[in-house]
Amino acid sequence: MTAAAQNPAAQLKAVPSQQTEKVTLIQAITRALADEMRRDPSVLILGEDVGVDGGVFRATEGLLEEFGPDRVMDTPLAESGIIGTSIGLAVAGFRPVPEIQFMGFIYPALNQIFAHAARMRTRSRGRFTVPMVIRMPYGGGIRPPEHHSESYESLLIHTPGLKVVVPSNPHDAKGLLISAIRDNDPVIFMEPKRIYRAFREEIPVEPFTVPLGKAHVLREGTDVTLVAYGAMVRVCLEAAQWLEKDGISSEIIDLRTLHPLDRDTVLNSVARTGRAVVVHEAPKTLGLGAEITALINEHLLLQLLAPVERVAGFDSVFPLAQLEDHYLPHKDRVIAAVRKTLEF
Amino acid sequence: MAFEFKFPDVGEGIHEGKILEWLIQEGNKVEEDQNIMKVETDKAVVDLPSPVSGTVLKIHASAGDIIHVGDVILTVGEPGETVKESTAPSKSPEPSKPETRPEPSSEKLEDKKASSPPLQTKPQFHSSPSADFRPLATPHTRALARKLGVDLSRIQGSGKGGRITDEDVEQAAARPHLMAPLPASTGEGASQTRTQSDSPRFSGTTSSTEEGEVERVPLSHLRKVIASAMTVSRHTSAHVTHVDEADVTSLLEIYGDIKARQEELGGVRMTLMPFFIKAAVAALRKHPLLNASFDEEAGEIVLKKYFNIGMAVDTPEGLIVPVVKNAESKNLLQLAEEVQSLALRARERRLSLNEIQGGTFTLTNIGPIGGLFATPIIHQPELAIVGLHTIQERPVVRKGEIVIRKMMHTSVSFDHRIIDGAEAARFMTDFVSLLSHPGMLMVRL
Amino acid sequence: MVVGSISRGCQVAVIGGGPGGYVAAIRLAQLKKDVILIEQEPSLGGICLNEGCIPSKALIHVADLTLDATQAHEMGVDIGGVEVSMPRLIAWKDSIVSRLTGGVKMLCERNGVEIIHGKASFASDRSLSVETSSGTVSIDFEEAVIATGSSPMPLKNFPLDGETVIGSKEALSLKEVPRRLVIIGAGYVGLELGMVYKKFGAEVSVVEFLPDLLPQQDDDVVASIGKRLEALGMDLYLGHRADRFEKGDPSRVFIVDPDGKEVVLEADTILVSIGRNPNSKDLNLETIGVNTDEKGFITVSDRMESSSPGIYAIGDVIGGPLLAHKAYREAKVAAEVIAGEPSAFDNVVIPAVVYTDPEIAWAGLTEKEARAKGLNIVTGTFPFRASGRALTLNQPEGFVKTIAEAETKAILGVVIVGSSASELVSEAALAIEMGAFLDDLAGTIHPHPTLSEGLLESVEAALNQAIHMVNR
Repeated sequence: MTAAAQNPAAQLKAVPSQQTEKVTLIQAITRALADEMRRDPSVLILGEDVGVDGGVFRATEGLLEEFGPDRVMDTPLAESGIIGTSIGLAVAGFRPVPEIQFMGFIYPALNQIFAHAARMRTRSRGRFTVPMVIRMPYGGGIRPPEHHSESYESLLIHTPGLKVVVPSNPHDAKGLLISAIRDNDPVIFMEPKRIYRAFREEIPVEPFTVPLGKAHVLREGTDVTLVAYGAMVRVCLEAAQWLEKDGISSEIIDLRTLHPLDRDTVLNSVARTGRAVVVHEAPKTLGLGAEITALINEHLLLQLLAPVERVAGFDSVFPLAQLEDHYLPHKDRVIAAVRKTLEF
Repeated sequence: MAFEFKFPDVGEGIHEGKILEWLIQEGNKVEEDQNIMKVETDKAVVDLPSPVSGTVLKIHASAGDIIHVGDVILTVGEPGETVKESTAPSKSPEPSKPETRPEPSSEKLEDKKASSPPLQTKPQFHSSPSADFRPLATPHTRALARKLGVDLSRIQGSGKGGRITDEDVEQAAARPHLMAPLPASTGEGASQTRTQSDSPRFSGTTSSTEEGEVERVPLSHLRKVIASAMTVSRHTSAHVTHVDEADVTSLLEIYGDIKARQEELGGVRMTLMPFFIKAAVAALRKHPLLNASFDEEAGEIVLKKYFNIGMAVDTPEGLIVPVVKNAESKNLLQLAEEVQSLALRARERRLSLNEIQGGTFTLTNIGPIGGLFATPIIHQPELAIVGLHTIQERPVVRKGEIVIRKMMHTSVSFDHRIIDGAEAARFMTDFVSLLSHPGMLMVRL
Repeated sequence: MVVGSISRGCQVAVIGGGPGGYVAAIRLAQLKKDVILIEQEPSLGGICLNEGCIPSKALIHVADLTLDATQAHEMGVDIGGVEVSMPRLIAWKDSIVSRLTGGVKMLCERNGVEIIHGKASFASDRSLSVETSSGTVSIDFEEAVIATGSSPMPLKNFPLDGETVIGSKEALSLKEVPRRLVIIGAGYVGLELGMVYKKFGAEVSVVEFLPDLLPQQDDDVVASIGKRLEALGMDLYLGHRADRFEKGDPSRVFIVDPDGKEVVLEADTILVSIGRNPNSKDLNLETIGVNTDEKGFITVSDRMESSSPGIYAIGDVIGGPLLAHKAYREAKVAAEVIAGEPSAFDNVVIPAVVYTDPEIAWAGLTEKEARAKGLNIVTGTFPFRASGRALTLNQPEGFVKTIAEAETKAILGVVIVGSSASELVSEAALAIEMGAFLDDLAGTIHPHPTLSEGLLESVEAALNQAIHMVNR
């Protein structure tokens, strides 16, 4: 771990005197958690290794020291229990932020999520809600054993009653997490772990929010719209820079919230460019790319200059380390997809 | 003190011109910026202005003469001043080194800005801008010169003791014809396409001209880089091509035998290229001048003791030359594997910068496409390039009888500044001999 | 980390936290680059701060103090006895070092530089693998600066054991003054530390393989040093090769004279300082195409670029004069080049100082070098015994010599021997770098009474118009 991360409590408590600070994505998440826990005593954290260990990725480093074992709880290895307990706590008035250590571990908790968390508001006709944020690192690129690289957002997007949010950079990580914690309904907060420490950004020290349900146009362009989220945003940026040299101007949309999708931003963009390429790690079949393609079909058929292209993970179990780079979308595949739309 | 006007650089890559006419005579007074002569270069006819005011003391070249950049052509001063008779030895301008490397497919997000010409391989530790024991300019002025892209060694300082002032630098920068050639910009990345189609796709715009319809296609970066590299190479090296032919009948028998047992090669596809590479290395060992480069500044020939053989690969976007490093220490199978891998990645535009730099000699295998022989252009900063051409069955005379043999033309373009025709011919004789008698190649493996 | 490996990304990775490394990191951060600095020792500052420049100057100052104290009698001051407590001296020295290394750390952090402690090697030309105390960290970078410095050259038959055979590092932290000290290598380190321990009361012998002291220096400079060594009572064995030693009480050092005859020296401690090798071996440079010369120094252009694009190198690891201030300048050049500025190392002057007694400092060409280049020169030498200030400081030894081009009178070099030479040479460096002529310096008023007037007088002597000495 970095030297900076070795003294986390000091880092959290000592508020730097500048107005901005340079942090990685994982550090931004820690900031967001600490800020909300200070502001609102009902915010709790539960999960495996989150307390004493500070989280296997150090996302919750220093929080146990600052807020004590009543608010930062190390749980047994039981995802159904973690989420089930969180739902109970949420209904009773707390704002729990449980952590599922890897998205691939979520299966035992799905029953609780689908059967209860997602439908509590409907079931109680609005009397009870579940203001819970489930944080989970997702995605490939870190060479781990199986179950550690999954991107199964499709299952969660497909379930009414859940919001699904994915930041692609430190600034959005902090802002979206704070918004998610303040939201009164269950939010799935997916963290692209491959880029946890890939770069640093200057972000405000003070707490701030980034609205849920709103995509961000990262780069304006005229020839094609690239739609992505999480670690794939940087892949699209690289592709766009290469395409630029051949005179192809790409517009890049970082979705930020997968559900509810910011349809307007996506449709307005594709209406102008006439071409779209959706990029995600999740397997192609029934991935978010399929939904976006259908959406575009419904509204923009006559404005389309080419079929929507999807650059996605393959329809297979996520492979082990040696094949990761072949599985995950990289800039060459995105460039090829863009060219396909241009040559239709 | 009399001012010696040296023929300045008037445009890209021009290093000589022909004087068409003088517009002034000895004894005339001239004003600064007054046109004094017409010079023809291979780009155009250019009017040259005088950089100083004064009296024309001496004209050193006549109308019709060919002058080189750096030659003293005129002396201007006060009447009665002494003039140095001999013209300064013409210093040919440093050829801007060709950039043939397209941007590699690395993971970098930021664009690399155009950097200075490729690094020299000899460790030139801290060369100062001008005199190496006394600076001609203060640190501030030197920084200004770098910022404005002005080469201090080509400016006449107006300060005491020849010192170059800020004004001198600014004036040089403002007057392009006096400005030193800027460092060539690197190929800033080329198109990264992997189009599946074979036919050339041009996304150009069509329009009509007086003659008929034309289509204007903007150059891709790879093309710009190739265009510049080829031009510079032609201007830099004294290209001569020597052609020979090899009787590859025996070699092809050996090759056929290997191909028949393809499955024992562990998935590696064997081609003739590894043999050509090995023959080249063996021939180069005997003729090291062809595996070298010319350091003009130092006036030294740099003989390379290692053999990094470049192979020209044709891709849909253009020519790329990946390099097989240390070919001397790899066996034929290893070479085959590397050749296969490099070619594939070249076509997919996934080569790293390391893989297209550092070559000492190049092979271009045009044969498979067709043709008798050609005159390839040398891949700077190397001094020679060998072209391998189509293998054809031809009747030849052996022991007084006509027989049909499989013959292959080979051409070597070499830099006659350093390598004489005889040496190149001897190299080619050895190279061809090794291919014609593969047994002799084998003993050298 | 539990599973997998997450890379840390940055724009520039700087390997080595010595004078080259930390300056490059800070300058890059000033130019708005995202920087990670990797240092394998627990503290920053490199050799310079921890076991070189700084600690040695601290000891030299105290050694001079003790000498001054014992010689104060002629000025009417009597100090009883002078005792040196090595433990307290070393503690004082250590306090300075930790203050400075802490300061460097603070500066890095304030500038937003991330510091990782560990040993780095290149995994590719765009990533590093760093072995830290908590595992391997992988760092992706866009550009890298190699500032790994140099290490003492080993001497055959004299393996360092830290007790009997020591290097400069141990020599700066000895627990007591050795009774008999034999120094192998009469370079700067050997001479400086030799004089220190002589002044602390040790018997000191210096063994040097070459036949001359400071061979690149002018004869008058070498003569001053030689005279002082003799006056201090140090034994000098020039042209002698150190062959082997036998450990014991005392140890015996066997050296061989120019005729092949063996000489035996008794020693309690043997200090080996015969030069330094670049730290370029364990970085995996071959796999990323970074070329080194036959001694292992990384070859670079004047923009600090190595043969692999995006990889820069500075400081001792690229060779040239192994000086911290050269590394400082190279660090700034590399940082500016990386930030896209048209910077380059075009300094003509790299001043150098030897902190012997008297100090020697020079900038530009020595008289020897100028003549070797075939230049037509004039020189002017002003002896400090003619300087009022030098006499009031009771430091009359030494001189200032200015070398200039005979025709243009451009200043080519200045050599200063005497106290405070190190402080005086910067004016000369500035003058030469600015392309000053003799009359530029002669026309500048130098305050009186100062040692710096010596520079003025030597310049005037070169012009044959010195006032405070007889012009020759």
